[in-house]
Amino acid sequence: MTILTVNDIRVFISAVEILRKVSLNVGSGEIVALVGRNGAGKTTTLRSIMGLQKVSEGSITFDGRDITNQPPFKVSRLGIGYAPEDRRIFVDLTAYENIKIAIRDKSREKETMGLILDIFPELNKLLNRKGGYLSGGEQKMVAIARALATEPKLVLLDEPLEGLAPIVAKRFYESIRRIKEYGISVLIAESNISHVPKIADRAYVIERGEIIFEGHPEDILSNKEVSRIVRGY
Amino acid sequence: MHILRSIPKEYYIPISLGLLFLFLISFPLIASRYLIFLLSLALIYAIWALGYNFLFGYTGLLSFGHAAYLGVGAYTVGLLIARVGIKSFEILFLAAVLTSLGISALIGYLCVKYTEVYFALLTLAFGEFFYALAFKLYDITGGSDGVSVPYPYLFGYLMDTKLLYYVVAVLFVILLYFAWKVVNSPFGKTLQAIREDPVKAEFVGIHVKRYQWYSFILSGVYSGIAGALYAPLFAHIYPDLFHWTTSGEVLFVTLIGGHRMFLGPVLGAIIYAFLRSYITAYTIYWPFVLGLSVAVIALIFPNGIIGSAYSFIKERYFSKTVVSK
Repeated sequence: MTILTVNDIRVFISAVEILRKVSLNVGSGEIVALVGRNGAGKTTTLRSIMGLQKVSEGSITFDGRDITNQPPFKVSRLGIGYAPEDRRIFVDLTAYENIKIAIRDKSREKETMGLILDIFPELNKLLNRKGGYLSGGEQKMVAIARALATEPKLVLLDEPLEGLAPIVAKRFYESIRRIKEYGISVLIAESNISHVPKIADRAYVIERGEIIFEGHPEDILSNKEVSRIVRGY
Repeated sequence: MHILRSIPKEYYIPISLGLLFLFLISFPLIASRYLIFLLSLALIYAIWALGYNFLFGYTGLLSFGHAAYLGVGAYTVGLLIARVGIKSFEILFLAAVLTSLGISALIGYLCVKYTEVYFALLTLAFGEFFYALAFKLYDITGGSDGVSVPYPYLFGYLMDTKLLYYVVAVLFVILLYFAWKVVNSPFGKTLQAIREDPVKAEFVGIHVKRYQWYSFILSGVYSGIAGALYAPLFAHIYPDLFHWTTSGEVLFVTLIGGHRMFLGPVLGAIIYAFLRSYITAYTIYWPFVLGLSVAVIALIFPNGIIGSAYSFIKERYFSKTVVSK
């Protein structure tokens, strides 16, 4: 069952067309990767889904509802969590407060925190530390945890593995798979093609605002032309 | 520092509030009438600045028109006493709270639709609108002369300077405690998240405009309460209460104390009230000296006095060696 459908969206920033009729879909409980080089349009696609970027044409449907150009707080409340590329955690708040402000149903705080700490047990010892005092990897955990705190049906993760040491990245693979085990769909924007087969069920390749490939992640590596475009060499 | 460290953190607030309350209640026993008046004024400024800081320090919205709500509170009390003849401070106080709540809800609703400089300009415009009303509606407001405000009664007792001081002190402690609870509640944390970055607050599902509006109302009500106490203290209301220069005072007060620290506006209010009082006694050029003093404080303490002192103490006594990861 499809939970998210992006249908032929076009997005302009100033006069430049950033997304050119981008279409993709994410199934329920599926991990989908959106792969592409820097500037290909991955972040703009995620921002458009979240309502942070105006969509000029096309539509976005989530869980049977049209969410095209809806304000971000409404998109979030409908069940889409978002962890942006730059993490954007609240540096003056503790890790716990960062997560807590995203929990809408306070009566379910215990269950939600339980789910988050099951996915990221490392957060247990960081909860009282202010966001500004966390390392880059820890901030990424908090950003994803905060997205999960909204009790989403789908989370959008923008470059969650960027800049992580290989051993830490492996730890994140596990966490992302744990998110799926809870029945939450995941759409990941990723520029490093080598991560994709280890986490995603399916992948799209985006280049210059156009989807140029859709298929199994392993097929990207075996398709020399697509692989060359994504790697840039 | 050893004594401080031996006290559990959860007792800091009750102990501090208790000590503060004891000091405030016993102050009239040792102080002159003028000092009682001056501390009343400082505490009224502190209530106003605490309210202002919900909006400025905790939500990140800069208002240039917060004199409007101080004025609304003061004029509500002043006009109800002088024109309607209501003398009961309980009723006057409630009326001031409700009026400032209604007006700040209406104006806040319009202002929070805009951000940054447009928000600031809109608040300034509304402040000046009230100033013009107070100036032009001569038959009601007394125009530029304002209106004399006789002492009201609290539970049948005449609210002279001393009784008014006790009312101000009790309200100050209650409102200080309430403000502390608010800024440390999920609501307060949400405001701080909005201050840090409204966009990221929005994509975690926070209705940013609505929270900004709530913060505006809360801020307006605190200002209205300050106004309700200001009118009987000076026994006079006048249009300048709405003027943008009065709005500038609360911004000054908040900045010199430190808008990122909870107690910053309180300390700023006390310094400002006393400084202004003593400078005006020495020179007619008090605005110049006051401006200069504020500029010097701002240069020496860029985070406000409390903010800078906190950073210093934290660095000096509580800093831990950071182990690099």
